[in-house]
Amino acid sequence: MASLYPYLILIGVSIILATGWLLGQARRRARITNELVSLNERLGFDLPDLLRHCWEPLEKAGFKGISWQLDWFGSSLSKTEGSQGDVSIHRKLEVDDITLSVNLYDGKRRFEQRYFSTVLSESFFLLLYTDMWVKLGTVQGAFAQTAKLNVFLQHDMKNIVQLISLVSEQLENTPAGKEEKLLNSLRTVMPTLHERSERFLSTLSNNAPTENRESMDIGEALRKTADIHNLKIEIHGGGQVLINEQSLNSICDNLFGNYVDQNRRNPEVGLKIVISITDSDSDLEISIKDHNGKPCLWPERLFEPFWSEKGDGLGIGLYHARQLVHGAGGTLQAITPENDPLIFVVSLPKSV
Amino acid sequence: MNEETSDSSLEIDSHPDGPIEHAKILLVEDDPALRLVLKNVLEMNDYTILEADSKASAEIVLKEDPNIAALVLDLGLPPSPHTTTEGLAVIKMAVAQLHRAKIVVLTGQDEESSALAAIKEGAFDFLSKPSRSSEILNAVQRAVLFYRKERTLEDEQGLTRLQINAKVSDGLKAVREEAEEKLVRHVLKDTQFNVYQSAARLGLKRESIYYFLKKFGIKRDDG
Repeated sequence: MASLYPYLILIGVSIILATGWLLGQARRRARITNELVSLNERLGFDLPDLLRHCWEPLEKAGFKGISWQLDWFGSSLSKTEGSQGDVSIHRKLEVDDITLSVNLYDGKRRFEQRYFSTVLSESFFLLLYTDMWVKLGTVQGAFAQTAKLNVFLQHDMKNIVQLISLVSEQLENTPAGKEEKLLNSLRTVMPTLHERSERFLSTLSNNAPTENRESMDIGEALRKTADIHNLKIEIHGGGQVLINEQSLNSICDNLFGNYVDQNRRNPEVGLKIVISITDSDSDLEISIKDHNGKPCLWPERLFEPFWSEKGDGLGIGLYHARQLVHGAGGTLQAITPENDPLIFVVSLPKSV
Repeated sequence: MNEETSDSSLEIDSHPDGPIEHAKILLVEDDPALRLVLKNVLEMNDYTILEADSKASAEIVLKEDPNIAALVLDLGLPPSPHTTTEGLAVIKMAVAQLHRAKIVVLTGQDEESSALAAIKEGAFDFLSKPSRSSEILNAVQRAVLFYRKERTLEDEQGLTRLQINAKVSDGLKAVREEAEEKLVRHVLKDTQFNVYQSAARLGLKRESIYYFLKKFGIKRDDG
């Protein structure tokens, strides 16, 4: 038995050395894969740029050469780097208006080297394929969002133009004795038109106005917006916040918009909106809850732009409100208990 | 919604609904400012205006007042004001409930497809926003005139206008059945669901009316 010890030790040492060598090789390939991933990220997931810059890490990994032809939305690009090796790994990737044909050249590899090489080349192809989808998703998303925004803006704009056109015609051709009636209607119409136009402009602009901040009564702003939407609210507490007036109105409008939609969909349920305003150090914390509301089914989607629960809204109301609150130096969060209605919590800087 | 009577001093003729200038118009528009301006335009031309801001409120007003001559309807109504769904649902509802009011669509939605859908459902006229007040008034005047003349034909000659969307490929049977159903519903509505009177008006036996009630699933609350 003792005579076997030297052999057993030899076998053990060989296993340790082989494992160490394999680990070293694997680590080297992993480093190169990471290098490719970081390069892709640095280049903004841009496929043509990645193809132009990928040869350096691939060469480090021991590949002999690469040649690719890319049809990028109708434009053709191609490049060959390195030399043609013994083995060619070919892939043709197609996604809508993007087609890529790529040949990765490798030397003759055996055993574990072949597997290391395959893992790296497949990771590289996956990166290329992902970039194609990222580009396509961005393009399609942008088109869909623009189309949706256009529909909304057109609808609002047509109403505004229709209103202005009718008012102008009425002013031109007021029948005798009806002047007083027209004046009274203008007193009601013009503030609403002003409010509509401002909302229209704020939909177009994604920037939170940071200028002209002033001390605003938060309770009054909430009441004013609730009145416009014909919502009954109960407010506990109060205080002054430092914010641009237009921003504050738009925040209230977008937060209440959610409740207005709910009320129109299920008028029989009725709303019970309770707002609590509390003081905390340098901020005022405003929590809004509809006690008759249902639990939120899509907590992760609430602030996602261009997403609406029923698919019929523009889906930027809450996103816009959050941008405006952040622009004012505050925070907007939604607490979404599993079995209880959601609570909006807005924190805004106090006016000293 | 509130009803406001015009302050016009025009003389009312012998027709139960008054002269054209006093016809009742239901304004279905969700934008309160635009609704108010449209109301003023129509009131200044001596129409009596009723208002609704959604399908639900339009349905209530139509049920409460069967003498509405025309609807001026915005297709984009809440809860989806940026699509034509709710507006088209108002037309379907008015047609299904056999309201005689003529529907003038005034909308900012995509003109081509909305006009086609609205007319298919039974709209009388289609105007796209922005329209001049003279165009709106002309359309309303035509709608009221048609409403009045149809009422006269009905009162004096017993003629009832039925609107049927006939697909030629479906053949005569489908058209006949739709016409039968509409006519039976119409007469039942006019007689407040009196089977005896309906049978007499249609020149049928009472058993035949019961047969149609069963065949078309007509119930007293249908409209």
